[in-house]
Amino acid sequence: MGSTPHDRRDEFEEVALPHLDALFNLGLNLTRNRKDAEDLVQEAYLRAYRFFDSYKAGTNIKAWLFRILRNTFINRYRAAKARPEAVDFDKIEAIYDRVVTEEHQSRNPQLSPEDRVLHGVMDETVQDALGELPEEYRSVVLLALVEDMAYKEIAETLSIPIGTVMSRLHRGRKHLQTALLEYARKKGITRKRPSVSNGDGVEERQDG
Amino acid sequence: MDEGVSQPVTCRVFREELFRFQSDEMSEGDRAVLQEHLNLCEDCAGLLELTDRLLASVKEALPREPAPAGLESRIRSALADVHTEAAGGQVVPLRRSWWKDPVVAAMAAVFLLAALITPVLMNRDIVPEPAVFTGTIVDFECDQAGLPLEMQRNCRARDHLNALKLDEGDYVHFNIHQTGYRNLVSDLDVRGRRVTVHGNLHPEIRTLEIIGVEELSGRL
Repeated sequence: MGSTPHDRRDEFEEVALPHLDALFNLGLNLTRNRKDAEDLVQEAYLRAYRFFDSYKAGTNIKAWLFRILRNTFINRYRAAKARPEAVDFDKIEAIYDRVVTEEHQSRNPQLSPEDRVLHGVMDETVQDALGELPEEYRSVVLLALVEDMAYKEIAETLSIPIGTVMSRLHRGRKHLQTALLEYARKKGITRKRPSVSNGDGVEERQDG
Repeated sequence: MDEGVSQPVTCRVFREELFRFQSDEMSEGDRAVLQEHLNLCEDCAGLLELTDRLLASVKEALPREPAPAGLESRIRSALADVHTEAAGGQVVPLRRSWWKDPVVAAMAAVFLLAALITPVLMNRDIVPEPAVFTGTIVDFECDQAGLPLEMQRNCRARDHLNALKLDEGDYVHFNIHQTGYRNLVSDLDVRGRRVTVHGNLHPEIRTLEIIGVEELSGRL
């Protein structure tokens, strides 16, 4: 602890600033606004610096910084968090099953070349669907899909058990996929055929 | 955890297992069974192809861009400012002169009063209603030394403030205890973690339990 404040700051900058891009990117995905993301990242760095004593050298600094960024985000946007959640997870399972069944029954023959070009078209849908997820799900999904973090690393970053990571990821991804499938069908990205439906939903038409 | 795939695999079974199949949430054996079905069933293969593409598009759809050019220098100079503000070259602590704030001082008075009353009630073997009020966090420190071992495990020695998802100035409810470890908080995120508030508290107060973070929409 005989280090001078300058040494300390140098050390902090040396280990923490290389992760600036990753932090900004996570901030951008959380806030969906460039200016907010910049402010959020700056605030997170300042806070991380204040807590730098509590960082154990040699441990995962990126996970540590992510945790601080995410907590800063929660504190900043707590008011927004009070909004009712847009996702009803109890319904997601059922909707997913319905959409997948409909898609399967559409027989989905060869897609036309232009239908195959999904790039760009879906961006808004994905981002909206992600924005509908409660923050604790969104963070898990972002760390897994964008940062390619392993379950264990996500658990460490968010201070939650691995089982919780898995269940949040499962539900979060299911919600995204449901939104995408619905969008795809609405836009006619998959071809529809008259479905053989029966009663409350869609009946099995073949046992492959 | 793996519930296993029922055989023979029908289209219905495949659809039910599709998500786990794509998420790598199943055993090799189950995968192989489903793969066999895929080789025979064009419909299911088409469904998988489409949903695979949709999943891939999730990743592509999320912004991935580097930090803007000026951000790093902005942060560097903000960090430098922290030093110039700090007295004697110390990093600015989280603590602030809370006793100078009349609102906080008033809360501290309530705090002291509650602390005086609580031991009296405890001594009479009456289980008191927890004295709950809203206070302002000044600073936290895990009360490691005063805790039994199993509690210490839960008490994050280092970045506990972040682990608790609390920040300086956050409003929380406190549940005041003199000593005991009863009334564990029910919120998973803070269960079993004890915190100590710095400041001139009544000496009888050893631990505080956080029993909930209040959502104050007007504050942020």
